[in-house]
Amino acid sequence: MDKSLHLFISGDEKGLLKLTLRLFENGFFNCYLTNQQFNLLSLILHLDVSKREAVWKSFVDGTLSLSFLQTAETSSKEDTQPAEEVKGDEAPESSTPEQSNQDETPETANSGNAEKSENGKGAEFSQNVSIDTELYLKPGKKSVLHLASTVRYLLWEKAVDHLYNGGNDTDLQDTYSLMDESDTEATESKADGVEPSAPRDEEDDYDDEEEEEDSGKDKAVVGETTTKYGNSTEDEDGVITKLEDDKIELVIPISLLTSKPNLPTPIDPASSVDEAIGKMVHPLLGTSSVIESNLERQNETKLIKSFNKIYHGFESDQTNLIKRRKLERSDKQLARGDDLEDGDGSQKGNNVNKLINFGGAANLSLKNLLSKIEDNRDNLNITDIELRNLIMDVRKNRSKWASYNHIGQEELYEACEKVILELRGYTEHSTAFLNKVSKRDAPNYYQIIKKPMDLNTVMKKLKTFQYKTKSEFVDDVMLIWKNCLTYNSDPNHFLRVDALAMQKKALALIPLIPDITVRDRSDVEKEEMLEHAEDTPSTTAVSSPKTTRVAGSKAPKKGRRQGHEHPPLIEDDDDGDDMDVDENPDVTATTSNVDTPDPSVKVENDETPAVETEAEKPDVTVENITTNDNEDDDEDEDDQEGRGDDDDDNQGIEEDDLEMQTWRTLTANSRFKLCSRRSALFKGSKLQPNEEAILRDAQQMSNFSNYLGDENNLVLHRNQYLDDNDEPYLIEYDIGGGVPSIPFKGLSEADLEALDNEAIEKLMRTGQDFNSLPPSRFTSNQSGTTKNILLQNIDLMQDVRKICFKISLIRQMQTQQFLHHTQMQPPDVDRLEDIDLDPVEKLGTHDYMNGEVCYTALKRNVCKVVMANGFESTNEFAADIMTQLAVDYFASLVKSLKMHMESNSINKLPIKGHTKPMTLKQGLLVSLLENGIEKPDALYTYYRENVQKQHTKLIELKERLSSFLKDLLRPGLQEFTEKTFNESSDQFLTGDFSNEIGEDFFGFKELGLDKEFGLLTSTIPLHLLHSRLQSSLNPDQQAHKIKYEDLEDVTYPKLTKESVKKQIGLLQPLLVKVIERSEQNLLKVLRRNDQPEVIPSNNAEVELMEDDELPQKQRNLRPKIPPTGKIMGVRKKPVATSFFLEEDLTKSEVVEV
Amino acid sequence: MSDLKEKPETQNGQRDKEKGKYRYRIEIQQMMFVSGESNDPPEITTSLIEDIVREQVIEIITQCTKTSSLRGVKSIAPEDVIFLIRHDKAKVNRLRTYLSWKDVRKNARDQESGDIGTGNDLIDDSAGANVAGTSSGAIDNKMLAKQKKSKIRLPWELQFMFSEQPLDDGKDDNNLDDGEREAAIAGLKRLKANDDRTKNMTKKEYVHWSECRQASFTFRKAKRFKDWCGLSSLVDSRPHDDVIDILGFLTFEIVCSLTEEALKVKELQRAQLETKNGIIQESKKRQRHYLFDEPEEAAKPIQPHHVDEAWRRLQRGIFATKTLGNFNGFRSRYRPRLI
Repeated sequence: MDKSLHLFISGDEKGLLKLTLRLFENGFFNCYLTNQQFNLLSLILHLDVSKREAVWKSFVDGTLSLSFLQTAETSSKEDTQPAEEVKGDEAPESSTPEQSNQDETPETANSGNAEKSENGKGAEFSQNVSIDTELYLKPGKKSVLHLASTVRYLLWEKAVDHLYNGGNDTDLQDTYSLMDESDTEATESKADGVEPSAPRDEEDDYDDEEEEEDSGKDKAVVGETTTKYGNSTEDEDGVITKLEDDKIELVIPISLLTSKPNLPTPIDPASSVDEAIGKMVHPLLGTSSVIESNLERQNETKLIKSFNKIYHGFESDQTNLIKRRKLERSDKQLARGDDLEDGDGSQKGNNVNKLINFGGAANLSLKNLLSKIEDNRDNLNITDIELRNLIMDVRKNRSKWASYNHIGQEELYEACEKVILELRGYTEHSTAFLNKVSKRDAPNYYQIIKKPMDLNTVMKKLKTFQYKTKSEFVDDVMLIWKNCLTYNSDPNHFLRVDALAMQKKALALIPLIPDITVRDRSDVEKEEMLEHAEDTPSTTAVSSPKTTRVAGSKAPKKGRRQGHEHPPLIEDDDDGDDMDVDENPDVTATTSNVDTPDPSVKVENDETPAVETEAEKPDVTVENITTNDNEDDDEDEDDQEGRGDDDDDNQGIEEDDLEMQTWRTLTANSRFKLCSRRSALFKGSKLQPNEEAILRDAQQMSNFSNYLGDENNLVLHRNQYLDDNDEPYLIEYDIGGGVPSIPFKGLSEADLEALDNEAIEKLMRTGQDFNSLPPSRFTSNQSGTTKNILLQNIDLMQDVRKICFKISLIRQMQTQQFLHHTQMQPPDVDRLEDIDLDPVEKLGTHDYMNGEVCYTALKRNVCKVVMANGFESTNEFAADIMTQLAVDYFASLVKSLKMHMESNSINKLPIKGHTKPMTLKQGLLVSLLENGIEKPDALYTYYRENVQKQHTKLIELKERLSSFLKDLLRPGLQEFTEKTFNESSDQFLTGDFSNEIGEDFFGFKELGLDKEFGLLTSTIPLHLLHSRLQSSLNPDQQAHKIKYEDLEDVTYPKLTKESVKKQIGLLQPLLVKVIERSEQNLLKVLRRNDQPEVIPSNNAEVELMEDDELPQKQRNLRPKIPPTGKIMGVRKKPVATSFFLEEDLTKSEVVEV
Repeated sequence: MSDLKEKPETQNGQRDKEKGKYRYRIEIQQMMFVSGESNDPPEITTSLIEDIVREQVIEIITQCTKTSSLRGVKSIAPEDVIFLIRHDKAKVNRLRTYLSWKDVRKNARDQESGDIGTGNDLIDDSAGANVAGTSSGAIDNKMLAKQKKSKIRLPWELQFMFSEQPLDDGKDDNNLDDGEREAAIAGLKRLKANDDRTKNMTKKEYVHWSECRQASFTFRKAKRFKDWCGLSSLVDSRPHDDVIDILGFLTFEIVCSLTEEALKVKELQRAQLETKNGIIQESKKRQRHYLFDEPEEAAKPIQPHHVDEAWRRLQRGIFATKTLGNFNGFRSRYRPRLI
């Protein structure tokens, strides 16, 4: 590769020349250069060998300058003059030859005599541009320089492509093998490598359609031709090279440049495919270049394929947009006009609609099909009649032009309408001609132009059936441009460029219109009777393969389909030439009738005669005319050159670029659509929310990537290349498709886990605990005073239930003897715990809007509501069902709200009486009402009426029940006497009297015992309670309990001296004293009874004396403290009852007990 | 409505028991009079109202049967009926008061052997007023009433949610229930309205009015009532006496609310008509009276279409029951709304 690239590195012009030659013959340049450029290049390449190298060198170096020779006649005269002038670029403007001016009165200029107009003087030539020729290559260096750079670019690009493809491409390989071998084999390769192409003389008088035919047969003809560029060599005399101070100047007869180029046949094998596609393809190509030859179409296809090699800027968008908008406006105007006219038409009683539609069909729409059929005619084994019937089947749709009484009307008008629409749609240039020229714009317009015409007027005339023949229509159309050219006589006027472009377009389209004269049915039928005999031969003529003409082929079919009634039309299809011949006299005739003072019309009409004579005399005039005719399509694009003249040179050069031109023309409509759509989105320099968003889809994205991909993978295919609307795919405007797809593929479980782990690790690193994180959003605020009232209610209910259990347990205890300990188990009431439903959320790796979590949260809340309404627990299944119901309800609530917001109902519009449309608030209210909430404050009412009331009621209930329980547990206070206090004093030991009966039943908690006896704190030791309740409520069991009365009967044995020692030590001294006393008393008693005063030695016999047994005097009569414990001051004993101790006894007998 | 020619002579019900479908013309007329209709309504209106009332009664009974069978009991208990109207707290309260007075009357009859005093007055809101006029023991009766009232316990009340109920020590009756307060306010309003109505009455009229107030579908004609609504075919077992009394109370309420609504409708239509015809014309018309003038607008009694409209209004707005069917498709069932 390096080796092959060496050529480019060194920039060796010889090598380049050889390569260029080679490529040229292969048809490589066919599509990239405009015709004039192509001719120039061809000239340079086919100079004498001696001259060629020098010229080429200067060409490549960009030093070659150019000047133009007029015609053959004037060339001798002007040989030197232009050469001098051209040296300075500005020269043409300053020195305008008088002579040419004299010659070129507006009339002559417009008459299209190119031999006079093309003076080779830059300033003149734009003025002299006539309808047929326009030379946009400028004398001097610039144009050549541009051409040189284009050629260089093409060569280099070729090389880059080759490198890029790694030499896999066989075509390129071929070329490059040439390149490699260029040093040695240059001449040989030329001899054997290239197949000579069909001879194409400038004088070629074929008209457009014929060319198409020819190109269709290109391959067949290829073999026959031997001479190449015959004309070039012939004309080479006219090319003068001048060497002057290192600069080489090329003086070329203009005719050479403007002539139809002889495109060498490409040897690209792939082209056959493209050709096939190009032939049948899309309306875009078909409409923009209707009469293209296969070769040209191929070229265009190639160009389209290389669109993606160039990045197109957006600078022409604005003008494009403006022009398209104008067209749209004009369309609307036209439509309005139609309405009006329709009204008129009905008044006139136009009978078109009443009559049975007959005959016509959309010819143009079937064009491609018909041509295909014609091509394969030999392969079809069906007769003409069968074919005709088949086509009749296809052509079902009758157009609006159809009329039973007017034969041929439908076909003619159908075609005419298409042409008009096509012209109108050519917005690059058509804007100025859409409507009538207003007097405000051009006050003197109607003085100069006697018969104004514009596209809309033509359309209106068409719609009112004012045309009888094709020629009438054509006259009107051509008149538009002529008017423009007449009025704007200033050669620099920008409108001239437009006019010329439109003219060319029109000329290209006009041959498509079948030359039909609308005739009355009755006339035709008469003729038919007469010419019935001619019918058969003409039918055979159609079937002959020679008549493969796309446009022409429709007429015969139709003619025959119409039965035998229209033989004249059938004759039309013999040859394309015939048709044109037929047509043109008509044109002449009508123009003369119209009586236009404008001679340009005549020139136009001169065309045909000129064509006929052309073969004999290679007149420049004729050449110009014909080339113009043949070149229509290419020149469509070239036309912008004219505009370029007005602008600076850079612009001009840019417009020279064929690729750019093609791109602009082809994409104008779709660019307009894209741009207007986008601009609508940003109207008022802010984002418009109601506009349709620009979204991308999969196809768009694949298109994009295809586009970026290899050129060879790009197939000109409807789905890949063109979008749904048969519009070219514009990568520069695809703002969405190029954005790469989101790499996110979703998360797998493993990924999630990894994420979680990562988060946890991060936590651990920072030394945080998972629990220390703030809780997730699915924890209700339950702590402290702000606890939800609903939850409070639930808690209260649970409390109440506990109390109820205690009460019922007590009831059971009262009635039953024995309670199993399981019966004493209080029910397991779990306080509501608020579990964090979504603890993972704390990590921050999970979204809390998770369907599962939300559902669980809703379920929890539903369960809470259920509990708050009195259920102790809910079955899982039931809870699920309730939750789903809740989900349904909320969903329908939201749905109805959404419907109200989005509906187009007139209720939302301002109605009479109601000044305002439905507001958001009203929508909300209505949807609430529809979902069973009659007032928006229903929830609050529910809260106040139910929840809060329930709360207070529950509190009250709890109080009452607990006091009830207290009452049950506490013995009745009303019977609480001293006696019961004595009897059941154990109650006080068990703590039953404590005011608070609750969890801390025995006060263990207060004593701090709960920690020692953990079990006791939580529940009441019920067996204790049980026994007590049993005894208290079953009084008969209590009978044997010792009572005070019982004790009265009990006699206790008297203490003896002996048994004193067994008594408590504390009492011993007292008892000893008592013993002493008792002994003395005993002695006294003995003395009194005269018994020996001997205290019995046996201690057991000595009994202790009770105080009661003491003699009255010795008793201790000191008052006791009353049971109340209150000492009532100092008591004074009444004297009567007081007594005084005897002196002697006081000391001995008073015993302090 | 079809057999309008049959004249229901309710006075002697036995005779046209088989004959007449409509047996409560007089009662309905009286009730309508009480609730504001000063003219004698045509028979067609009363028949229509009677039909409506019967439909309502049947609806009540069927629904009550349903709830009672859900409870597993065959006969309808008063609670079942109250359950149906539980959301109308004012009405429930009135009903409870009514029932308590019924008990009072019964007890009084037992004690004083038939000296009933004002016992005939079944209308709750006038009860207080009339009680004041009772010969003796008004205060005792009041206390008694209170006790009775609290006796009727509605099983859906909060305290019955739990297994144990606190002892009713009668201590905390001081905090009046909200529903009771509502009922009290509503009762005061009614009293005021009745006061306004009777303000200009002559003695005779007042007597008539108070007689009308005692009109009932059931009082002392329980059998006729049962026949009328076909109770035997609706319920298997004989319902509690209280149920019949409650139904009597409810039918009175139905007629009253229907009449009130129909009066509103009538007034509205008259207003509309006035604005349509122009008030000037109206005033001109009033200036002179001719012999063959139409009776004045106000003198026109309630017509059936008024009742129809009133019925429609009272039936409207049952969104809540259909809500869950929204967007999901559902079978809409018609069930008359209890007035």
